[in-house]
Amino acid sequence: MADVLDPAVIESLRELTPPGEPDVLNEVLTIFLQEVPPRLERLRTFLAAGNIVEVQRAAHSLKGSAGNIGARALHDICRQVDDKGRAGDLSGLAPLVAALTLEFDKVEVEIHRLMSN
Amino acid sequence: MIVQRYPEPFIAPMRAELSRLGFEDLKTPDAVDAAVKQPGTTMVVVNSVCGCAAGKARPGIAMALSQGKRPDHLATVFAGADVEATETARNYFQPHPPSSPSIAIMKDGKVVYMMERRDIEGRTADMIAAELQKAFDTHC
Repeated sequence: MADVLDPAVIESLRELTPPGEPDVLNEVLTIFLQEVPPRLERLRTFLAAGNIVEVQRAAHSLKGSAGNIGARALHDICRQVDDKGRAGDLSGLAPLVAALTLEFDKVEVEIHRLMSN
Repeated sequence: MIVQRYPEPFIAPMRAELSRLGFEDLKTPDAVDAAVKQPGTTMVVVNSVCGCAAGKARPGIAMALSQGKRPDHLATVFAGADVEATETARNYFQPHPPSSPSIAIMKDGKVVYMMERRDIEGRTADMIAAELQKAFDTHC
Protein backbone atom coordinates (compact mmCIF):
# COMPACT_ATOMS: atom_id res chain seq x y z
CA MET A 1 0.00 0.00 0.00
CA ALA A 2 2.79 2.41 0.98
CA ASP A 3 3.72 3.40 -2.55
CA VAL A 4 0.11 4.30 -3.40
CA LEU A 5 -1.42 5.53 -0.11
CA ASP A 6 0.66 6.77 2.80
CA PRO A 7 -0.07 4.37 5.69
CA ALA A 8 0.45 7.15 8.26
CA VAL A 9 -2.28 9.29 6.67
CA ILE A 10 -4.62 6.31 6.38
CA GLU A 11 -4.02 5.45 10.03
CA SER A 12 -4.62 9.04 11.13
CA LEU A 13 -7.95 9.06 9.27
CA ARG A 14 -8.88 5.71 10.79
CA GLU A 15 -8.17 7.06 14.27
CA LEU A 16 -10.53 10.02 13.78
CA THR A 17 -13.62 7.84 14.18
CA PRO A 18 -15.30 8.45 17.54
CA PRO A 19 -16.68 5.35 19.28
CA GLY A 20 -20.03 4.31 17.85
CA GLU A 21 -19.83 6.74 14.92
CA PRO A 22 -19.55 5.96 11.18
CA ASP A 23 -16.04 5.16 10.02
CA VAL A 24 -14.33 8.42 9.01
CA LEU A 25 -11.76 6.70 6.80
CA ASN A 26 -14.51 4.93 4.89
CA GLU A 27 -16.47 8.16 4.46
CA VAL A 28 -13.47 10.17 3.25
CA LEU A 29 -12.44 7.44 0.79
CA THR A 30 -16.03 7.17 -0.46
CA ILE A 31 -16.16 10.93 -1.08
CA PHE A 32 -12.83 10.68 -2.91
CA LEU A 33 -14.14 7.93 -5.19
CA GLN A 34 -17.32 9.90 -5.89
CA GLU A 35 -15.66 13.24 -6.57
CA VAL A 36 -12.40 12.49 -8.30
CA PRO A 37 -13.45 10.59 -11.47
CA PRO A 38 -15.69 13.40 -12.78
CA ARG A 39 -13.03 16.00 -11.95
CA LEU A 40 -10.43 13.90 -13.75
CA GLU A 41 -12.74 13.68 -16.73
CA ARG A 42 -13.19 17.47 -16.72
CA LEU A 43 -9.42 17.89 -16.58
CA ARG A 44 -9.00 15.69 -19.68
CA THR A 45 -11.73 17.63 -21.48
CA PHE A 46 -10.09 20.96 -20.64
CA LEU A 47 -6.72 19.63 -21.78
CA ALA A 48 -8.19 18.49 -25.09
CA ALA A 49 -9.69 21.95 -25.53
CA GLY A 50 -6.36 23.61 -24.66
CA ASN A 51 -8.00 25.43 -21.75
CA ILE A 52 -4.93 25.79 -19.54
CA VAL A 53 -6.68 27.91 -16.91
CA GLU A 54 -9.29 25.23 -16.21
CA VAL A 55 -6.68 22.46 -16.42
CA GLN A 56 -4.77 24.22 -13.64
CA ARG A 57 -7.90 24.67 -11.53
CA ALA A 58 -8.90 21.04 -11.90
CA ALA A 59 -5.38 19.82 -11.12
CA HIS A 60 -5.19 22.06 -8.05
CA SER A 61 -8.44 20.68 -6.75
CA LEU A 62 -7.38 17.08 -7.42
CA LYS A 63 -4.08 17.75 -5.69
CA GLY A 64 -5.92 18.69 -2.50
CA SER A 65 -8.10 15.59 -2.63
CA ALA A 66 -5.07 13.36 -3.19
CA GLY A 67 -3.22 14.97 -0.30
CA ASN A 68 -6.13 14.43 2.06
CA ILE A 69 -5.93 10.65 1.68
CA GLY A 70 -2.15 10.39 1.48
CA ALA A 71 -2.04 9.52 -2.23
CA ARG A 72 1.48 10.91 -2.50
CA ALA A 73 2.33 9.97 -6.09
CA LEU A 74 -1.05 11.18 -7.31
CA HIS A 75 -0.56 14.41 -5.36
CA ASP A 76 2.87 14.88 -6.92
CA ILE A 77 1.60 14.43 -10.48
CA CYS A 78 -1.27 16.84 -9.80
CA ARG A 79 1.25 19.33 -8.42
CA GLN A 80 3.27 19.11 -11.64
CA VAL A 81 0.13 19.70 -13.72
CA ASP A 82 -0.90 22.53 -11.39
CA ASP A 83 2.56 24.16 -11.72
CA LYS A 84 2.58 23.84 -15.52
CA GLY A 85 -0.94 25.21 -15.68
CA ARG A 86 -0.01 28.17 -13.51
CA ALA A 87 2.95 28.85 -15.81
CA GLY A 88 0.67 28.60 -18.85
CA ASP A 89 2.86 25.79 -20.16
CA LEU A 90 0.90 23.22 -22.18
CA SER A 91 4.03 21.28 -23.19
CA GLY A 92 4.32 17.85 -21.64
CA LEU A 93 0.88 18.07 -20.06
CA ALA A 94 -0.64 15.21 -22.07
CA PRO A 95 1.77 12.54 -20.76
CA LEU A 96 1.44 13.96 -17.24
CA VAL A 97 -2.34 13.69 -17.40
CA ALA A 98 -1.99 10.15 -18.75
CA ALA A 99 0.26 9.34 -15.79
CA LEU A 100 -2.28 10.95 -13.48
CA THR A 101 -5.00 8.69 -14.86
CA LEU A 102 -2.85 5.58 -14.38
CA GLU A 103 -1.98 6.60 -10.83
CA PHE A 104 -5.63 7.27 -10.02
CA ASP A 105 -6.43 3.73 -11.19
CA LYS A 106 -3.88 2.38 -8.70
CA VAL A 107 -5.32 4.53 -5.91
CA GLU A 108 -8.82 3.36 -6.73
CA VAL A 109 -7.75 -0.31 -6.53
CA GLU A 110 -6.03 0.33 -3.22
CA ILE A 111 -9.07 2.13 -1.81
CA HIS A 112 -11.35 -0.74 -2.77
CA ARG A 113 -8.92 -3.15 -1.13
CA LEU A 114 -8.89 -1.04 2.06
CA MET A 115 -12.65 -0.67 2.14
CA SER A 116 -13.25 -4.38 1.69
CA ASN A 117 -11.06 -5.21 4.71
CA MET B 1 -31.81 20.70 7.48
CA ILE B 2 -28.01 20.77 7.72
CA VAL B 3 -26.43 18.91 4.78
CA GLN B 4 -23.12 17.35 5.76
CA ARG B 5 -20.55 16.01 3.39
CA TYR B 6 -17.07 15.64 4.86
CA PRO B 7 -17.29 13.84 8.21
CA GLU B 8 -17.09 16.24 11.12
CA PRO B 9 -14.14 14.53 12.85
CA PHE B 10 -12.14 14.95 9.62
CA ILE B 11 -12.69 18.69 9.41
CA ALA B 12 -12.83 19.47 13.14
CA PRO B 13 -9.13 20.44 13.40
CA MET B 14 -9.53 22.70 10.34
CA ARG B 15 -12.53 24.42 11.93
CA ALA B 16 -10.65 24.75 15.20
CA GLU B 17 -7.84 26.75 13.60
CA LEU B 18 -10.35 29.55 12.97
CA SER B 19 -12.55 29.00 16.05
CA ARG B 20 -9.62 29.66 18.33
CA LEU B 21 -9.07 32.99 16.59
CA GLY B 22 -12.63 33.97 17.51
CA PHE B 23 -14.45 32.99 14.32
CA GLU B 24 -18.10 32.01 14.67
CA ASP B 25 -19.01 28.83 12.76
CA LEU B 26 -22.03 29.53 10.56
CA LYS B 27 -23.72 26.20 9.86
CA THR B 28 -27.11 27.30 8.53
CA PRO B 29 -28.36 29.88 6.00
CA ASP B 30 -30.11 31.76 8.83
CA ALA B 31 -26.84 32.02 10.73
CA VAL B 32 -25.17 33.44 7.61
CA ASP B 33 -27.98 35.95 7.07
CA ALA B 34 -27.71 37.13 10.66
CA ALA B 35 -23.92 37.39 10.56
CA VAL B 36 -23.58 39.38 7.35
CA LYS B 37 -26.35 41.79 8.29
CA GLN B 38 -24.67 42.85 11.51
CA PRO B 39 -23.72 46.51 11.60
CA GLY B 40 -20.04 47.19 11.02
CA THR B 41 -17.49 44.98 9.29
CA THR B 42 -17.66 41.20 9.18
CA MET B 43 -14.92 38.99 7.82
CA VAL B 44 -16.40 35.81 6.33
CA VAL B 45 -13.97 33.01 5.55
CA VAL B 46 -15.00 30.11 3.33
CA ASN B 47 -12.89 27.41 4.96
CA SER B 48 -11.92 24.31 2.99
CA VAL B 49 -10.15 20.96 3.10
CA CYS B 50 -7.92 22.29 0.29
CA GLY B 51 -4.20 22.30 1.01
CA CYS B 52 -3.93 26.02 0.33
CA ALA B 53 -6.44 26.66 3.12
CA ALA B 54 -4.17 24.77 5.50
CA GLY B 55 -0.83 26.06 4.34
CA LYS B 56 -1.67 29.59 3.27
CA ALA B 57 -5.14 30.95 4.09
CA ARG B 58 -5.62 29.98 7.73
CA PRO B 59 -2.05 30.86 8.82
CA GLY B 60 -2.29 34.12 6.85
CA ILE B 61 -5.58 35.00 8.54
CA ALA B 62 -4.10 34.26 11.97
CA MET B 63 -1.14 36.54 11.27
CA ALA B 64 -3.34 39.31 9.90
CA LEU B 65 -5.54 39.30 12.98
CA SER B 66 -2.63 39.31 15.41
CA GLN B 67 -1.98 43.06 15.17
CA GLY B 68 -3.41 46.35 13.96
CA LYS B 69 -6.95 47.03 12.80
CA ARG B 70 -9.37 44.13 12.45
CA PRO B 71 -12.99 43.55 11.43
CA ASP B 72 -15.73 43.97 14.04
CA HIS B 73 -16.97 40.40 13.57
CA LEU B 74 -15.38 37.14 12.42
CA ALA B 75 -17.41 34.33 10.85
CA THR B 76 -16.79 31.23 8.76
CA VAL B 77 -18.56 28.60 6.70
CA PHE B 78 -16.98 25.30 5.69
CA ALA B 79 -17.22 24.34 2.01
CA GLY B 80 -18.04 20.68 1.56
CA ALA B 81 -19.49 20.47 5.07
CA ASP B 82 -21.82 23.41 5.79
CA VAL B 83 -23.18 23.10 2.26
CA GLU B 84 -26.30 25.26 2.53
CA ALA B 85 -24.60 27.90 4.65
CA THR B 86 -21.77 28.12 2.13
CA GLU B 87 -24.24 28.51 -0.72
CA THR B 88 -25.96 31.33 1.16
CA ALA B 89 -22.65 33.09 1.85
CA ARG B 90 -21.71 32.79 -1.82
CA ASN B 91 -24.96 34.47 -2.79
CA TYR B 92 -23.87 37.48 -0.75
CA PHE B 93 -20.45 37.40 -2.45
CA GLN B 94 -21.80 37.77 -5.99
CA PRO B 95 -20.61 38.77 -8.56
CA HIS B 96 -17.49 37.05 -7.24
CA PRO B 97 -17.52 33.41 -8.40
CA PRO B 98 -17.74 30.49 -5.92
CA SER B 99 -14.29 29.86 -4.53
CA SER B 100 -12.86 27.96 -1.59
CA PRO B 101 -10.99 28.91 0.35
CA SER B 102 -11.90 32.56 0.08
CA ILE B 103 -12.03 35.55 2.37
CA ALA B 104 -14.63 38.31 2.23
CA ILE B 105 -14.98 41.50 4.19
CA MET B 106 -18.60 42.60 4.43
CA LYS B 107 -19.71 46.04 5.52
CA ASP B 108 -23.36 46.49 6.42
CA GLY B 109 -24.30 43.44 4.35
CA LYS B 110 -22.24 44.26 1.23
CA VAL B 111 -18.91 42.84 0.07
CA VAL B 112 -16.22 45.51 0.21
CA TYR B 113 -13.24 43.19 -0.23
CA MET B 114 -12.77 39.68 -1.62
CA MET B 115 -9.75 37.39 -1.73
CA GLU B 116 -10.55 34.42 -3.96
CA ARG B 117 -8.70 31.12 -4.08
CA ARG B 118 -6.73 32.24 -7.12
CA ASP B 119 -5.45 35.14 -5.00
CA ILE B 120 -4.54 32.74 -2.20
CA GLU B 121 -2.86 29.85 -3.99
CA GLY B 122 -0.09 31.95 -5.52
CA ARG B 123 0.83 33.68 -2.26
CA THR B 124 2.59 32.71 0.95
CA ALA B 125 0.87 33.04 4.34
CA ASP B 126 2.96 36.16 5.01
CA MET B 127 1.82 37.76 1.77
CA ILE B 128 -1.81 36.91 2.51
CA ALA B 129 -1.49 38.45 5.98
CA ALA B 130 0.01 41.64 4.54
CA GLU B 131 -2.73 41.87 1.93
CA LEU B 132 -5.44 41.33 4.56
CA GLN B 133 -3.93 43.95 6.86
CA LYS B 134 -4.08 46.44 3.98
CA ALA B 135 -7.74 45.53 3.49
CA PHE B 136 -8.41 45.95 7.24
CA ASP B 137 -6.75 49.38 7.16
CA THR B 138 -8.93 50.40 4.22
CA HIS B 139 -12.28 48.97 5.27
CA CYS B 140 -12.30 48.43 9.04
